[in-house]
Amino acid sequence: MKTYDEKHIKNVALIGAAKSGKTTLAETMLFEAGIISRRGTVEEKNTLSDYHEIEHTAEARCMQPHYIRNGRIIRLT
Amino acid sequence: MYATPLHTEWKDYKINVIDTPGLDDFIGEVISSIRVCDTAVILLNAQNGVEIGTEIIFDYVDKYQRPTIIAINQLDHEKANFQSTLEEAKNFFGPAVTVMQYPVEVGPGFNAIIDLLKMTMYKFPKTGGKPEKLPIPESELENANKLHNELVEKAAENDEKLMELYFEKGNLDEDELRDGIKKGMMNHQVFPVFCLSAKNDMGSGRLMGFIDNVAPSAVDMPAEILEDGSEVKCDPKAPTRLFVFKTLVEPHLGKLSLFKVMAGEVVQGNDFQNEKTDTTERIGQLFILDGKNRIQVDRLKAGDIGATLKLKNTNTSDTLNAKGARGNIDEIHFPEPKLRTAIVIKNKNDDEKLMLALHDIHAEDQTIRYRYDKEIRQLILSTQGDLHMNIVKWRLQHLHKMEIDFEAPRIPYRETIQKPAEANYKHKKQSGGSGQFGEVYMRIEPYFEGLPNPKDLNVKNTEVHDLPWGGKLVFLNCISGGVIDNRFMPSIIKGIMEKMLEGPLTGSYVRDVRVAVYDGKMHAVDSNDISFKIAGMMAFKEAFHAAQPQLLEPIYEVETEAPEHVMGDVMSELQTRRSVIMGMDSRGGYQIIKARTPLAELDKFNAALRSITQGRAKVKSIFAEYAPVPNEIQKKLTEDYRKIEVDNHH
Repeated sequence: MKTYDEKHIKNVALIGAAKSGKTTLAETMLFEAGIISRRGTVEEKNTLSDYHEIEHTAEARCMQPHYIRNGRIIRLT
Repeated sequence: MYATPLHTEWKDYKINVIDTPGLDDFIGEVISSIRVCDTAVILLNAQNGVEIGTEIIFDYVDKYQRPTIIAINQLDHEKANFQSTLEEAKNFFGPAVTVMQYPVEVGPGFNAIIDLLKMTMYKFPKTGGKPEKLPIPESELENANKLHNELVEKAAENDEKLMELYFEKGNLDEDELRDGIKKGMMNHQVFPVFCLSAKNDMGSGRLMGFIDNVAPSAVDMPAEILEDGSEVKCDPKAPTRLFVFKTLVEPHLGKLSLFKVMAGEVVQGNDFQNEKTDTTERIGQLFILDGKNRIQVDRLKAGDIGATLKLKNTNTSDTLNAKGARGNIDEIHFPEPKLRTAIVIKNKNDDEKLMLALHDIHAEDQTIRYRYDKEIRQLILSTQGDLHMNIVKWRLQHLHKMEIDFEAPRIPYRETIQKPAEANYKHKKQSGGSGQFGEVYMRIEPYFEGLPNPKDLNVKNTEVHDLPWGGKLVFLNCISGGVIDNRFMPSIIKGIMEKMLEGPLTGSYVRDVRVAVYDGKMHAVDSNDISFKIAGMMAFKEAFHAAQPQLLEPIYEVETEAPEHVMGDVMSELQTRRSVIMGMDSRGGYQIIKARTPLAELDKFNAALRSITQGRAKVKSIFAEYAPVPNEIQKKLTEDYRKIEVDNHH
């Protein structure tokens, strides 16, 4: 891979509340640039970001806390 | 749950993207990512506006003064609302929020963005991807011009020359605008707003283009600060410095250290000095990461992010210096843990394995801490929240195959007495062989500084023992007529000490007692050390029970900071937790309650606080003093302990 000099390297952190779309945006940024040929989705658990086994277990999902906002239960991932 | 580094390449630029978790349990991952990024992209869900998680994280973006982009996502959603999300963002993040793009239509029909820097409309095909560049339609021109002018003013504000130019020309060209926006981002005065539907692949290309051309590189950013206060600029010609911001312990792979090249360049095979651990580390293999995929590279230049394997003595927050560089870069400051629990292991043989596993878990996430507490004889695990705690449990159970449970941490109570009492005890064992005999008469009194010597006793000798757990044991030798030899006094004290280590009420440490031994008996043949130790211990125990014993509990000073509208709930929660409210204060829109809360209630308070305040409260607690436990609680604790004692006896 090409070596980039200091002026051509940008470091960004995607931050935000759960489900704001950080992982999907990351996937899209790589796809648009042709780094990956297919976009994974958070639902199918095949994104580059979510590769840790624990994120895909039923237990992990049960542990997820939830908040009540405007009378609705919002589960967070 | 984990921050994941990825990379992309967009029009001659490399963009390292760190995808971070959204829950405050994993705040450590977010903090280290913010620490090494040069721009923070804050995503807002257009359905929900500024959510709780975002508020908590923004504190850190603000603290590190990271240039910030606001990306309003999910504009394709039925319930999306660009305008209200923008208003919330302005209210929360302040006047720096500056519209750079706005959507022509919001909801399922979202397919076009007006870009105010380029003054162009981007229209996307149904499947997303590369947009068509079109002139701004007539119907949008008025609005676009108005917002463009606001953007120009905002850009000009950050530079005097641009301001002059703007006054001269009444406008700025694209390059001048970029220049002004970049300066504004670096001053934390401009947070440009972008529009996205990440799901439909709309808007990310323009965002990347902006990151390429406007967002600062590491070389543009202020210098990093060393521990001694000196500065390290991101200079590609300076001696190389790597800063490790994250550690992963991967199954089958081992320890993976993620670092940012803070200066110079790193080439595979380079040696570095870690001053903190006083070791030399070799970068054997050099990678960049896309999630779990490792891409081997030969070299990485200043400002880049990479990873290596097998750095045995290097941890998160360590600096690796090449020859010619010295000093450690200021470490990442992680928040204190918020919740604690005790870990119980089912199979005692797993003890060592457990400690190794916890060592790895802490290496990966320094916001998780653990320590063995000798006093309460429990292994205490501290984390940022419930989920965080359960994940540690899951990892220990599933990845390390250990059976463990959580239980409430014991409370380090103290025991003392409230009035004088006397007791005597005769220890006698004279059946066969050499016998045992010792008898002790003692008086015990609550001790305080300046307590005068008893008038009715003749004090021959005074010993003051400062107890390692606080308070004192004062021992008076008041024996007359040689009824107990002086040589047995240390044994009597030893017996008393043993009982003070495991107090008669609940097995907790005893403090602030004066013991006067004033009479007794010994036997010419059978008296020995063990006899007087037992007699001393038993007499002390009896006297203690008669001296109106009082259990003391640790009280913490607790400072809770939370938004005003949840303060009533926080207050009533504190009151149900036996707390005394000491005062209230306000700080930047937040209210602060100061209270004194018993440790026994503090864990429950911390756990409850999250749901009461939806995670928006910050709590600081520090040990203040020991105070008496209320009667009914003391009664219950004493009874519980008696049961355990009886059980152990049988």
